[in-house]
Amino acid sequence: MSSALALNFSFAVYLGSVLSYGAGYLTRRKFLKWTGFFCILAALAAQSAYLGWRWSQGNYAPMSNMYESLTLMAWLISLIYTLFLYKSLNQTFTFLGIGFWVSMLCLILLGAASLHDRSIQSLVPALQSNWLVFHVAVIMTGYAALALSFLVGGIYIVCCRDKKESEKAAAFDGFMERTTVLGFLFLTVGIMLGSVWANSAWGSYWSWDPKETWSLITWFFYAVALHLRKTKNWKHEKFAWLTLAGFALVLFTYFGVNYWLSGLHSYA
Amino acid sequence: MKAAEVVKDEKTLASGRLSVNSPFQYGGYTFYQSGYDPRDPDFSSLQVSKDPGVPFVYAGFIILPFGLYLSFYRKTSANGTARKEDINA
Repeated sequence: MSSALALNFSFAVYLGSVLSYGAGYLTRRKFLKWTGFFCILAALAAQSAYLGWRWSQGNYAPMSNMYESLTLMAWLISLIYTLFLYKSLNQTFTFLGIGFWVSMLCLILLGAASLHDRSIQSLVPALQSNWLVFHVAVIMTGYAALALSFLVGGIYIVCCRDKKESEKAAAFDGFMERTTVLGFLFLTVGIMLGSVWANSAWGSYWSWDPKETWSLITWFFYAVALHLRKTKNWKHEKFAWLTLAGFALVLFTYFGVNYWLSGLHSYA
Repeated sequence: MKAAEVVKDEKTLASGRLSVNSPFQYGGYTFYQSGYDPRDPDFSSLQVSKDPGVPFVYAGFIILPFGLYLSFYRKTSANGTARKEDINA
């Protein structure tokens, strides 16, 4: 089928990207890193085609179960990374190397997605609403931005911890801040959209089900992290650790709640 | 899809149909189908709610993103000095 082909193609291209980046690190050749980045662009295009196809086939936004949300997540992470590179053209080469980890993460996400059921099924009644697109797409965008802040936070701790004054450290610190702020904004709006949807579908805007509670905990964590950054000057390494801890909460809200706790959000 | 009737003093005041994601409203009250059992079509859980506070919550939802935008993306901080990150960005 053409659909699986587009997804397998993007998987292969992400793999090519990782290999090209890896070769670029070993041989210190810039063009190999650029090849790796263009692989990400190609994978992004293939995934866009796949998502469009799936949307038209299933006649619903492809974000209703684990398989769909994982593939969407990989797409969003590449997309936001590409947009960030575009928005910081003067620092492009500093951020180019992040692409290795972006591809790696997308490979993991697509690999994890392949373990789940990929058949197109009819939506459960609770999800048959246009709110699905707004709520889920916005939240996923937030998670994708926070995933990027996590990647850069990790890179910062490994590479820049002892070189706080370097230009690279400043650039990565700025990248962490911008992705965290973006993720926090999308998380805020996404939670509110979910709340409005809940009020229109279930009659109450907040029901304290596990997903809601954990998303609130995650939201508070990032709110505190950004406040510490602004008022207590928790930048660079301290903030990098905060992005790592925050992403652990994101992972628990995203996956942990689905597997270990049941509630209103347990679909699949 | 469930049929619902609002009955007061043995008189039917309103009737309508409701399903998950499309509630039925009458007299300030909203009737929701909050759950169902896929194995038993005769089972359905309903919820009736009246929450006059919702407009305030929604007002907060509109104001909050503006506040976040102002605090994160405006070019100067509260005391009027430009933030270093904003100049670099």
